[in-house]
Amino acid sequence: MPTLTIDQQRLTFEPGETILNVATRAGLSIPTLCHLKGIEPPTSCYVCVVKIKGRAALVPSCATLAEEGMIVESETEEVRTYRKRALELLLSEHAGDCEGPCRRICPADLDIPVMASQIVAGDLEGAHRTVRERLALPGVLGHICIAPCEKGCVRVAVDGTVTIRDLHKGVAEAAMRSGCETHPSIAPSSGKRVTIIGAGPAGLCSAYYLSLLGHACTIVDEREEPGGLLRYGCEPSLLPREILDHEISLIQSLGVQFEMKCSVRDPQTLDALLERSDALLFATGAWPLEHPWPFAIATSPKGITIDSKTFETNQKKVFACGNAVAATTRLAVRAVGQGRLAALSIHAFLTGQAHALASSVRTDSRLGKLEAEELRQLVSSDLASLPLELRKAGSFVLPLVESASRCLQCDCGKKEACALRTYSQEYEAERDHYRTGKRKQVKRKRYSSGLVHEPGKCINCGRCIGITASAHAQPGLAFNNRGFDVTVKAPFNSDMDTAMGSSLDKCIHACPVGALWKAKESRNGTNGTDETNGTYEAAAIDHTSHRSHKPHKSHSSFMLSRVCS
Amino acid sequence: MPDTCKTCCQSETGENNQSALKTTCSTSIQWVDDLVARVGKTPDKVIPILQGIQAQFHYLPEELLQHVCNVTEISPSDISGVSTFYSQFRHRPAGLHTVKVCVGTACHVKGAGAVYDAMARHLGCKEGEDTDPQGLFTLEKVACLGCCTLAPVVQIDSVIYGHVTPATAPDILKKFLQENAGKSPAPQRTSSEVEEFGEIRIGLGSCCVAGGSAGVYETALETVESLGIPVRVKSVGCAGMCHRTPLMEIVHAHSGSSSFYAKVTPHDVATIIRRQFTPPTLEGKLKSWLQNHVSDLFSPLPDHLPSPEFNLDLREKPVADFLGRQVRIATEHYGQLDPVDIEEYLKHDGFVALRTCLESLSPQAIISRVTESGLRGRGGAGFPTGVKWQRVRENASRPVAIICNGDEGDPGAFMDRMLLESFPYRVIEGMLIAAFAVGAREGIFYIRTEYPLALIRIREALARCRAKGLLGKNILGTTFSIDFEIKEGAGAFVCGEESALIRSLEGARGMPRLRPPYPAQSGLRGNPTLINNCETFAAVPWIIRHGAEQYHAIGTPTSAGTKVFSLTGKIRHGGLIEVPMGMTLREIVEEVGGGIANDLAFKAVQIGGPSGGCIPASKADLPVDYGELVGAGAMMGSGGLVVLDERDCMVDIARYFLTFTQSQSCGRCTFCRVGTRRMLDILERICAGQGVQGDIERLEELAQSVAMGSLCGLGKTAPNPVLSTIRYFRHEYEAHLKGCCPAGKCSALISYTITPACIGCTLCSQNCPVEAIPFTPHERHVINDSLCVRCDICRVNCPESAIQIVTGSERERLCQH
Repeated sequence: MPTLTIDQQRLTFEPGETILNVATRAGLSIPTLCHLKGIEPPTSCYVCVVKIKGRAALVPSCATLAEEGMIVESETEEVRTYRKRALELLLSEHAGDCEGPCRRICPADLDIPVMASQIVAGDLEGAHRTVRERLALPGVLGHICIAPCEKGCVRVAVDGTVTIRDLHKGVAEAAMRSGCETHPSIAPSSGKRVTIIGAGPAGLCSAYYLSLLGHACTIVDEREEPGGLLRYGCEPSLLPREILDHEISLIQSLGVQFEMKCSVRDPQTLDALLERSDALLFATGAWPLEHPWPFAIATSPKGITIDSKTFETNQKKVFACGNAVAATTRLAVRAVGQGRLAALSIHAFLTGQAHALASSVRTDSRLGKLEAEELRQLVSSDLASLPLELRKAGSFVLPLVESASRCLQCDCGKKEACALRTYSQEYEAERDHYRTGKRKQVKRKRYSSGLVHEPGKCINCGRCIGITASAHAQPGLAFNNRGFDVTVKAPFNSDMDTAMGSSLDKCIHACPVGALWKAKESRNGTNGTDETNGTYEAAAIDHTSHRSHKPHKSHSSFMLSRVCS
Repeated sequence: MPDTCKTCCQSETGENNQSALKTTCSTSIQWVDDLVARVGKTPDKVIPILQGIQAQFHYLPEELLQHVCNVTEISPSDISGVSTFYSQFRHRPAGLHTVKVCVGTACHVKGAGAVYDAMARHLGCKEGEDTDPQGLFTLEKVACLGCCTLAPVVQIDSVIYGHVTPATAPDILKKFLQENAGKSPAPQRTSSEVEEFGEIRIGLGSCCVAGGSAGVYETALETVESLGIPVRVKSVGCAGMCHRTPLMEIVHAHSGSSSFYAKVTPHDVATIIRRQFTPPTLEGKLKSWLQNHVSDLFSPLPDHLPSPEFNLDLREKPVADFLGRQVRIATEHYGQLDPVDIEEYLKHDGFVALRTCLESLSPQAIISRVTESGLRGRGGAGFPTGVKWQRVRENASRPVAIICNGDEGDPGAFMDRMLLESFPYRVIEGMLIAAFAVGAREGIFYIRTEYPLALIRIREALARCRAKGLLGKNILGTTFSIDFEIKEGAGAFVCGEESALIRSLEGARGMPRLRPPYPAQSGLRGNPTLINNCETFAAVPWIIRHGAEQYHAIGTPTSAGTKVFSLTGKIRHGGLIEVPMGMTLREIVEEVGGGIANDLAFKAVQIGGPSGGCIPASKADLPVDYGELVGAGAMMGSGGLVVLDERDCMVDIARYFLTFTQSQSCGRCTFCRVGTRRMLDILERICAGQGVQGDIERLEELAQSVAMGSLCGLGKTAPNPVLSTIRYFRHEYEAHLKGCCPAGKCSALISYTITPACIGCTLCSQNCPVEAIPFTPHERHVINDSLCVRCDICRVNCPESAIQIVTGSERERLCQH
């Protein structure tokens, strides 16, 4: 059998086989956005390029046939650079938000569009789970959060924001009243002990998520009651105590120990606490000036100095978050968000995967400001306004459903399955590197078949055209125009879904980005999460499982890839 | 023309075509049915069908396209993909007449942009519309009409106008309506074959016609007939001296002497003929004498002819330089032969090479001879022709196809057009030899639709070859049989690339595919296919007749033979030239071309069009050679040579070419589709004075990526104009980043100002199309900068040269005042 070399690896191949095929068979991964088994290689994306020794230009591995003695470079710095540039160019023509602007602003990273769609569909359990994945204190925040998310709401420019804070407040209260508050289930005990200093919002939240991850948590605080500034800095008229007490009791019910009235400013106590813990988290809030910082911890006038990604201090196994780090921001929601992130970081540290956290931030394609016309048609193609019969009556009061239905779902319907996003992250492609000109227009059309077509996101890979052509679908799809103006269109202005005919689902599945996706009744694929097996690792950290077609495995390596986000 | 119903066709008054959109009436359906019956139903017929509909309705009514799908094997997705790919097709109704402003390179550097703007202003098209409110004219840009020496050029329907300026643009529309509207072009008459006294040769190539030679030809015929002079009035092919058109040559049969007249008008023709020939009859003599005296009363023409104004002395230095340095192989017998007269071609060694090949050479021997000659593909990349033939020959057990690539899309180049128009038999002969050598069984001329005259001449020439037994069954009585057909390109530069060209012939979007397999293995419908450029074929008969060695002796060791160039731009003597390889660019510009027009400084030569690059004057001693040009960051390309002077901005040139390649990219590969667009974005913002630090480096990075990561030649070479201008003119880019356009070209970076030399003559004010100069007689005029559209009309019209262009710090200083 003839052989070739890919990255020094000698591989045999069948005559007529492409380089990509040979590499894939050998377990080497070459990224591609346009190649698809069964259709003629479109050779359009150029993300699968490799370098062949002796040839000046790069070649697309998906269509270049393997030849005897060929020496192929795939994972070299040079090839990776070109792949990255191809991805950056694609990102520059890809007009879409990965995440909704509301979620992007939310310091706690609540997946607002998904929550809203679940409310609209009458899926209390799903909405509650979505909320709990990010907010350990949803009811509390429902009362006191200043709701930065609402400033980002795209609808602000049209007819006022979606009242997002009221949504999670309503979800939390409805769940509380019905008594069906479901937590993501708890992972088996890790045998690790974490001490959290401070029972304020940051401390409470980190304890919540650390417990779900299977670590034994103790919260130490000098006050009488847990809650920190929530209790001692908020008027009961602003934050009803029964809400606060209820949500703390939920945390307690996970097995979190509270050691109140404990002098946490005392160096000896702290030393003892550190001694008995596998990790220690400072969530003390602003540290009084009269007390010196313990453990020779590095500080600045703002507070404790930390690694911004891992929350680690300069002291081994000591972490810090919340106002202890930056006393100037007294946002409860930021403390809540940081509490969770610190918990994930500590988890990574405890399980020996801390290095994974150092990697880059998640790719997030962004649109920026929308034009009036774009807004108009986005509002008119409202995805969330589902027919009334789909809303399961009972769990929710109608006003809540109505305000949730105002959500435009402006995040991407394929934000988890998007290959462009995945590869961009892998290759650290910069979103705006080539954003030099006007972006494409944002358009969204929902068809009765459930197909949502967003041509602005299309990267002209040609997969759907290839699929419809090989299935002889009538009237089929075609590239229209030339150059940068190329678009995928159904001929004679026919509907996209009818144009694809029986290939519709195949096309939706094959589309590497969110240009073609299927709107479901609820974005919570309820049978998507394996409830029995699902620990917090699967259900809470991987919010993706709620929307992808297949349940994700709950092993921690997968989880870590999400932690990095 | 078939009958069409009134509702489908626009009324003669041009009164609106809105009502014309009811195209579903039975007549138009019937018309389409007839068209399909004529052209065929198979998927590969989609382009001819669309071309038929476009020609009839001036656009593609959707109802008719749907009907086409119903009555043919063409699928809706194919028709939508194809009809939106090619520039020729319109999807919305057009006005009664189409005004095409050529934006080829030569036209661009001579101000086509301002001409287009002036046209748009004059027509008053609404925002987003390209048709005037009356529905009379539709304004379009066209990549290149191939009349580069007459730049800027505007074509209205089939009439071409040269040397258009923003100021004359409105007059041209008026003139067109007065002279041409509603008229179909008169069929060209031919004169008697009597040539007792000699010949009157008049160039009727596209350039010459645009220069007015059709009128000259008509008048010459009339004069000769009315005076009864036994002389043949003959239309001849291009002489290459496009800067002097219309050209007329008078050859006396007895003495053999000949005189050349340049820039002749119909009015002069009669006079020249009367002075040159004495009519044999008394009646003729009388008439001639009378007319001479009458015309002398009114004509400013001096009594004794030839006058220096018209007479072109071949010994005169500029003419001698222009013609003397050239070596004629592809353009052999230039300006002497009637292009479609097969007898004349036969008299001048025509088809001798073909006969030699068929009768005494084996295919292998022919290929060897071509290989030994060193001939390389003249389409641009310079692949050895003999090697290509050999590879096709190796697959000759399968049905082989041969294609003549006449899809000359380079803006600023017209070699193929000229060869096809003026030397159709030479190209056909070369192609026949190639067909015999590679064992081809079908042959296709692929000619771009923008070249109507080339299409007519080749069609005519093929018909005459068939009649003479030079095409079809048993050519020249041998067992060799082949026929050629013509396919019209529909306006896509990328179809010059061989795999795209083949896709287009198969009725698909002209998207190149990954090679290998090369067309030599798998081309048209999967068959082995030989594709050569017109000029490559045109060189073959000469090589066969004179031998490989003689050909190889011309030129350089690596680039043998001659190269045809269209020499245009800011050159004094522009035209179509054929020079031996190895001649330096400086010799071409300064000797053949007579240097820069208007005594400005020679700045650079753009060679190779959108795939090529700009060679600065300081490097102009570079010889014309495939390797040398690539080394200098340019490329031979198909032979466009656009000369630039000090008033040409190199960033603008780069932007111009990127605009072109970006719009011509098929849109397949990410790097080309998006990368060229991003390069253009950056160039546009640099030209608009909005460039930012790092833009030059970003451009270089993108350029390198596009070159590395594109599938076909278009993408691989698209960055060349940018890279070469950065390489040689980086300081100009840097100046733009600082808000200065040193050449005074980029409108966002310049202002017009009036110096104290102004005498207050108001000419500028009167000519300003936007009333930016108040009418203040006898006072120094002032330009309102915010109203000024930088059309340059005032500067050109100022008799005192008192209008100046300022940029950079000088401009800032003026703006502050």
